[in-house]
Amino acid sequence: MKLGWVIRLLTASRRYKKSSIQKRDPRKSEPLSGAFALDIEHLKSIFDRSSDIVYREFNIGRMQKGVLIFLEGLVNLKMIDEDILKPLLEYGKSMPQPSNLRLKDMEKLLQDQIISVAQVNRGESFQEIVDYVLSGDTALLIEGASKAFFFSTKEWEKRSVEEPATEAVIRGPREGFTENLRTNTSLIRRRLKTPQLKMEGLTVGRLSKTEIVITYLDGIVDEAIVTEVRERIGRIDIDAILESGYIEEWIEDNPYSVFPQVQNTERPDKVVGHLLEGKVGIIIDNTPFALIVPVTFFDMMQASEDYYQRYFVSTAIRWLRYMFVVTALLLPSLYIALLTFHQEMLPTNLLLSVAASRETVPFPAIVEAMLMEVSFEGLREAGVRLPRPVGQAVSIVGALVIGQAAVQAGLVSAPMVIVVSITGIASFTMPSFSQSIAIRLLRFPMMVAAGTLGIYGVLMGTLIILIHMTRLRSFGVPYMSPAAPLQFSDLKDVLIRMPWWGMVERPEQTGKKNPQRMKNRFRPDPPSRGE
Amino acid sequence: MRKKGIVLLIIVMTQILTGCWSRVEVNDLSIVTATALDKIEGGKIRLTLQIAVPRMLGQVGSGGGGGGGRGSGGEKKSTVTVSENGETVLDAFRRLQEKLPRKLFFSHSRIIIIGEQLARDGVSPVLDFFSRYREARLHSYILFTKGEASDILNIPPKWEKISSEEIREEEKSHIGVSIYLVDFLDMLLTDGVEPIAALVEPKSTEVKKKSDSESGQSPPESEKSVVIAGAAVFRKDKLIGWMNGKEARGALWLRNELKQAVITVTIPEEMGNGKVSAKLLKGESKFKPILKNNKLIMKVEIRAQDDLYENSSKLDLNKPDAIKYVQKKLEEDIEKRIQIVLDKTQKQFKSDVFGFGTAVYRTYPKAWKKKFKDRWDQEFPELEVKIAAHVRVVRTGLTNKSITLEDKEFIK
Repeated sequence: MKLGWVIRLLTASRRYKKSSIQKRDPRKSEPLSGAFALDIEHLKSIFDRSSDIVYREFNIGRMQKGVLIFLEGLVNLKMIDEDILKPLLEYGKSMPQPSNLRLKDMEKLLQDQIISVAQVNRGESFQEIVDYVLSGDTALLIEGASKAFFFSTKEWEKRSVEEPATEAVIRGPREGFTENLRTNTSLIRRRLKTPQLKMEGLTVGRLSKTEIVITYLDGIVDEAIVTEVRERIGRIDIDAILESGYIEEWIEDNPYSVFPQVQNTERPDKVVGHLLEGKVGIIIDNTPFALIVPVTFFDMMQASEDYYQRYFVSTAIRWLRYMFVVTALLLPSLYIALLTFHQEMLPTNLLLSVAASRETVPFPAIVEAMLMEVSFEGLREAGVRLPRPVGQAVSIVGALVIGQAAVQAGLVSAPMVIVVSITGIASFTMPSFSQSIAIRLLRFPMMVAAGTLGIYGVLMGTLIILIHMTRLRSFGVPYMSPAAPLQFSDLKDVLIRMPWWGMVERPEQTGKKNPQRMKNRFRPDPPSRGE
Repeated sequence: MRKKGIVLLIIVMTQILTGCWSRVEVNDLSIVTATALDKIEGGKIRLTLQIAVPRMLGQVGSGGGGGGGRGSGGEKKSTVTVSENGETVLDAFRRLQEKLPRKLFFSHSRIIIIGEQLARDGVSPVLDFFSRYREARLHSYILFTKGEASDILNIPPKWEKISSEEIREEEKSHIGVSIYLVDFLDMLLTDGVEPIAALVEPKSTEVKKKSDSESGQSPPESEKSVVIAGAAVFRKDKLIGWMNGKEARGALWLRNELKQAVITVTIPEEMGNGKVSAKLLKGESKFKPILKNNKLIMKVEIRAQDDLYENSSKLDLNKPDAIKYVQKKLEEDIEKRIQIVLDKTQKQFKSDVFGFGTAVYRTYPKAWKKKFKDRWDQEFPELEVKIAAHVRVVRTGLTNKSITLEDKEFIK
């Protein structure tokens, strides 16, 4: 809210450039002329200075010229050789001399008898040729025809399905999304074999033309949310989408919040789990991260593994996480507040040992804490960014330098090192990285508040954060639901993780339309002796 | 939107404008661990504070951390005792602060020791400071000592790093009288009960050996440690006398504050000749004042459960009769103990530290107001008290018969 005018100031200066970006190439929208040589010439001028485009000219029969246009690297060359070029040349040999194929025959012959490619399209404008070729299809132009044929020969290098790096599990499927859109949709399809599973396609980005798939379960999802998602994505006007983060920032409800209001995941099972709760998944080409909306704070606190482990364990682990969220947010600030304002609140012996270890520290507690927290964040960032072998060295050096040397040199007290490391561990217990980094960021203002106002400041900060969180919405769903507003029945998946046979109903906020998950509660029960 | 933002900003800023006015780093604090008060000549008050020296406290055992450059100079005390005279406590406190580089911090002073002279002259004037001052804790133990209170603070600790911590732990165990400042004030202000508090004395932890007593040497001061030796008995806010350890424990029985006790009884010749010791499991006392024909009788009922842990007599504890006999003996002993302390308080101190008056007020409020309230001082010494103890031996330890019975021929 307060950032709004700063951002407006920054964006206003660029507004005048908008018109210059939107210039379109007038040549591309023209229709094919029918004059073979001229059309080829025209295409070559559109695709000039492009070394990866291939024009394979050949003759059908003796006289009739043809050309195959494709982008090397985006196509399956073997398929072009055997399923397009070879049949065309062989048909030419068998043709009665010296006749040319006419357009009318051509369409029929090509599709029905000659070409053995699954998907064949036709087009009449240069624009279509450009679009198809750029997306990996092979275009065929034949002399004497004012039409182009497109054969789907898409194939490019892609990563295989691997275990997701950011969301590892002990128990659960090890498949993660890849950068390939269709692989990703197939991973979801494989888990829901129902025509109710919808996969709406969209294209976003003037230059990138990124394919986006909105997926949901028809009959379970609230149509209003799907419409809203469709509209919000439709509004996006940008040159290129490189990652799901672009979409996320375009479609979230409150752009000035540190908290993520859209969940991202690499796990297909997580997406499917949310689809079953009546949520909408957004899969974006060229990134392994899919988005899930709407999402609540508590959704982000849940790992997919919670639902695979035994429910006692999952419940305990959830509580552990809740505890550690509070720790990650408040521990350093509480430590500072207690040490600089409220020394009477510590037990005498604890105060004395803390005082003893702080005796040689030249900084106030707040400076000491800031120093340590900032270097910890630096260490974490370096660990992510550096090449893996170097990263290990950094972490060892960091742990040694910060943990031991600083204490021994008397620059930092040992309790502070403990506080910082517990906080660090705590912030990594959150399953959602975007969530944990938001909490970690908020820790710093909280520390400043604690250093200036003591517990009073910590309390104020916590209240402000809480008020902000309860006001947040994600696609109309309150961020803190089901806790605020309280939806008692939904606490079954928040306070505890109900066993599966107890999760009869979907969550109230998103699954209202079709709440019944199972017909009736069926608790596994061994047969009694009489039966 | 922008207007709202500005208003919000102003509100947030005003909160911050108060600034860090009460901010103090731990390094700039003199953490007071105990307070001692004495009255000196001329009616002035001497305030003695025991202040922890954190530099000497930390990193016990970690040779590398503390040993290197900082801990030089061999063994040093972990506390510093400072004192100053003043007209009032706060006056002395101010003068003391002038001498110290760090801000005196009272919140962790959990022990208040008051010297005999000050106690005899009345403690209300000094206690006012402790009930008023923000940093002072009402939940600090109040203790009295014969002689100068400041001497107690100079006795070096044996187990803990700080001697006041030792005193606090001793108080916490509830073996002796343990009274918080808030309890003391409560007793002071309540009708029908007079204050009592613990008496601390420096004492040797070792029992004197024969050779020591012959040569007349008492153990050096550093060998001594602070021991709760009894109780200080008050009338209003003035000290009137001391109880020794045994009497103080009798008072604890009556005040229903006893948590731990060992009762030893002697079994006479005809029943087996020896001693039996029992450990208190649960003890409870009840006052039942009875007003009959204008005469007040106080019935004291004591119920106790005991574990029998030592038996050197020839009693066979397998037999219920034997247990009953022991129970009776224990009851007698308890009654005797209580009678001793009762006699002393009624005859010598004439101070109702048990709260008999409060019990009367609760049972007969009207009669109390009319008859007893104003002249309870005279009434209490004449009060007829009937003590009835009921002891139940719950367990007899891991064995029943004494080992001396079963294995007679092997021992001796």
